[in-house]
Amino acid sequence: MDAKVKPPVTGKQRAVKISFGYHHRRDDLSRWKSKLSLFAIVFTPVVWLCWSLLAREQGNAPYSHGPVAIVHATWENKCEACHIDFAPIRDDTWGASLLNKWNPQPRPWDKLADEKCEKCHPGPDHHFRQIPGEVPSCASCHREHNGQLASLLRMDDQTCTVCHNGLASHLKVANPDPFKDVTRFDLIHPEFRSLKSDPGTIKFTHGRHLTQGLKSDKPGDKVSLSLADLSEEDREQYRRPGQKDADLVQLDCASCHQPNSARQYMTPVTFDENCRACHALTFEPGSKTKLVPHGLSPVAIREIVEGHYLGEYVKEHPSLLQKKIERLPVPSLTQPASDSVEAKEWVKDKVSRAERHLLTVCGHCHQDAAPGEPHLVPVKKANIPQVWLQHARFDHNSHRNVDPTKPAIEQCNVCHGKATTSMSSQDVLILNREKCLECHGPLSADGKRGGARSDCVECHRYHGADRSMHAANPLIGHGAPEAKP
Amino acid sequence: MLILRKHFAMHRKWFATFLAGTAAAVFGYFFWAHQYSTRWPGGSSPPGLILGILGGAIIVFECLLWPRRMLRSWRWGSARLWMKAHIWFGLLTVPLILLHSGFVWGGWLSTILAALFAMVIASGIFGLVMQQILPRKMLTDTPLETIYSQIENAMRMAIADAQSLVLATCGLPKESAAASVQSQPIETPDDRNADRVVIGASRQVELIPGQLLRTPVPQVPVANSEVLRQKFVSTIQPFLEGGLRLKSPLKDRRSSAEFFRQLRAVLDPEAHPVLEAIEDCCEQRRQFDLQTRLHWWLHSWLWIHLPLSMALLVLMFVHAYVALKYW
Repeated sequence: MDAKVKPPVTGKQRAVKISFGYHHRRDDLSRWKSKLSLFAIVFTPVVWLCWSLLAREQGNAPYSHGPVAIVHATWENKCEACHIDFAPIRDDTWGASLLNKWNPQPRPWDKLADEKCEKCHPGPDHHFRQIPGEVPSCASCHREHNGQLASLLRMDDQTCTVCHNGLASHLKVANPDPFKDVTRFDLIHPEFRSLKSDPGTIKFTHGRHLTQGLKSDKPGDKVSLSLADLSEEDREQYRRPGQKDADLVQLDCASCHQPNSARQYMTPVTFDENCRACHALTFEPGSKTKLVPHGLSPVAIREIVEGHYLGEYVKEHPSLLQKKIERLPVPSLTQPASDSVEAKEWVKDKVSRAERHLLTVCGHCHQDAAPGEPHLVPVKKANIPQVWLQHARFDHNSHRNVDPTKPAIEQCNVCHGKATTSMSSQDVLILNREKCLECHGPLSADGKRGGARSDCVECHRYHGADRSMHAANPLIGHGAPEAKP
Repeated sequence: MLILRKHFAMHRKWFATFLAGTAAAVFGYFFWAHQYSTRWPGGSSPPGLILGILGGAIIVFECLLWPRRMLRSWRWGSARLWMKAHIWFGLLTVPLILLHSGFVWGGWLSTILAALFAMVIASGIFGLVMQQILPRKMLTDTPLETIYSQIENAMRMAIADAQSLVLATCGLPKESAAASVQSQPIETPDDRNADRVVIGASRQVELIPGQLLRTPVPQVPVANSEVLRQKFVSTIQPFLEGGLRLKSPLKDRRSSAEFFRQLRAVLDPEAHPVLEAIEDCCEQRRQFDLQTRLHWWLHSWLWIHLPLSMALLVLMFVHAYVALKYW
């Protein structure tokens, strides 16, 4: 039977089967729809309140829009630890600008919460020339609630380039030595200024110190240092595996440069640790025992030498100890005893010779200790930078195996260029930005160049903690004194 | 509400409004992000806040459709206008809320909100799709459709009609069967139309009695028609009462036709009009069952859409308060 071939049932025919007032009775679908909706209106806030009560030991965790970084995990559930009620914490919120306009506070609304940050992270501004109104609030850069392992220091480059790409317009006082604009490390970024020249005053050639026997390239130089030339206690420090006492000394980078405890930077080279074995400060030629300490003033050195020779004179003339000391005529002075004069002259001569000898010894390393001078003169500080990249962070540990195909000594040369051949103390043995770009930049099409991170915060810190070796307070906040030249 | 094919013309302006709103929101958001921000602006940023307020206002408006339907007599705009606004503004909230979120889930509250929002939108779109498909299907597949809530009522009347026809054709049943047939209400043919039985209700509207469809029935019981009664009691009546829930040869249109063909072969031709009327009742049962199923698909999504919308509305205000407190 096919219904379609039959005459259609009219509406009137259907209507007679519909009871009057049918619309007063709702069907189950409709009834349940309303019941469930009303239930949701009542049930949702009840469930939410119950959950809040049950999870009250978690504080305001249900309202948090993500876990805070692990360093702030103590305050995970205490919103009030960082937030001020109804005060915007970031300056990119609209509310901040509106509130600042309509209801000004002694401190801008978005900076009110900064006071809470600064309780633990105090510090001066980023730079003394910056426009105060442009300084973002702490939370504007350090975005929280991005997970426990999220870095609070990983800023987008634009956070920096918003000012540094056109810095002149963001300074309250013009900079006489303006920074160049920066857009991206691999695009527009100045060369490292601190590598322009070596400010050190020490005469030192890496090339000579890395040759066998520490021979210079001068034709007449007959110096050839063997282990036997060193004192017994120093030999073991410089002995390489399998070397005998007659073998020539062979230094490598690690002979003088040792990483600090964090293995990030190298510990400073010091005379006593790294130079004394070969450059003993003897004040008498041929002697290995008549030494003066390093780092004393000329007056102090003279006193030590003078005291030494006075003692030596007395040893040679023990009768002096038996001689009566004549009373000095008062008030006029008379000539001293002939023995006394002789002793003074003897000592004076010895000291003078020692000073001239020391000038030669000191002059090996100190530029201003000229051998022609009659007396010892104060020398300038060595002034060797402990950290060369003064506005950036560098970690030797991360770069220790930068080219696994090369032996250990040549690993250093990858970045330190001509260290093994440099014969001038003025050479800066750190390659500049171009060398960094070999790894730190976008990956090239052939995959041979770039690939390592090259964003601003990879090397720089806004708050001046670049010189992390010196950062007294690792939790430093609003900039650091180092940023102020 | 139909929005596809020829009906799209009346939605063109709404669709244009939706596109323009989406484009404006996306452009404004990304322009601001490019100019003033180093990351995707979140809900508290100027564009995020504006989009959040707009999205929230639209959600409140969307929820007003419920009271609007409850209070039809208040006549706040036509139902069609409300439904159009509900659909297109509802779709507009998707880009607005997505941009407002800054593409992050956030914490528990905002994640729950996002999940609720997604489910509300998904269920709404599902409902909209159903609205495009099922009414057409009902129009073609269920020409006998009636008001959903009246299906069982109409079916009860059809069963009573069928019983009357069987009684008129087969006569009074034997002792064993009589009890069951007599216990049902039987409409007796009136005097003017003694050879007809009313199929459908006979109702009086003012002074005019309405008797619409009449099926010719034998004046006296047809000989050898007991088989009809037997089949009616054993197979037809259970199917008319239970429909597709039961195992029955009448569930399927083809096997039903075969069932009645065999019955027709053993019955006197005088009983055939009655058999045809009973066959129509079975067809009606099948169509009502199909209508019930389609109706369920057409409306059951509201069980999800409406309660979740209410939950979303409540939590949205909680979210707004908390976001302003700790922004």
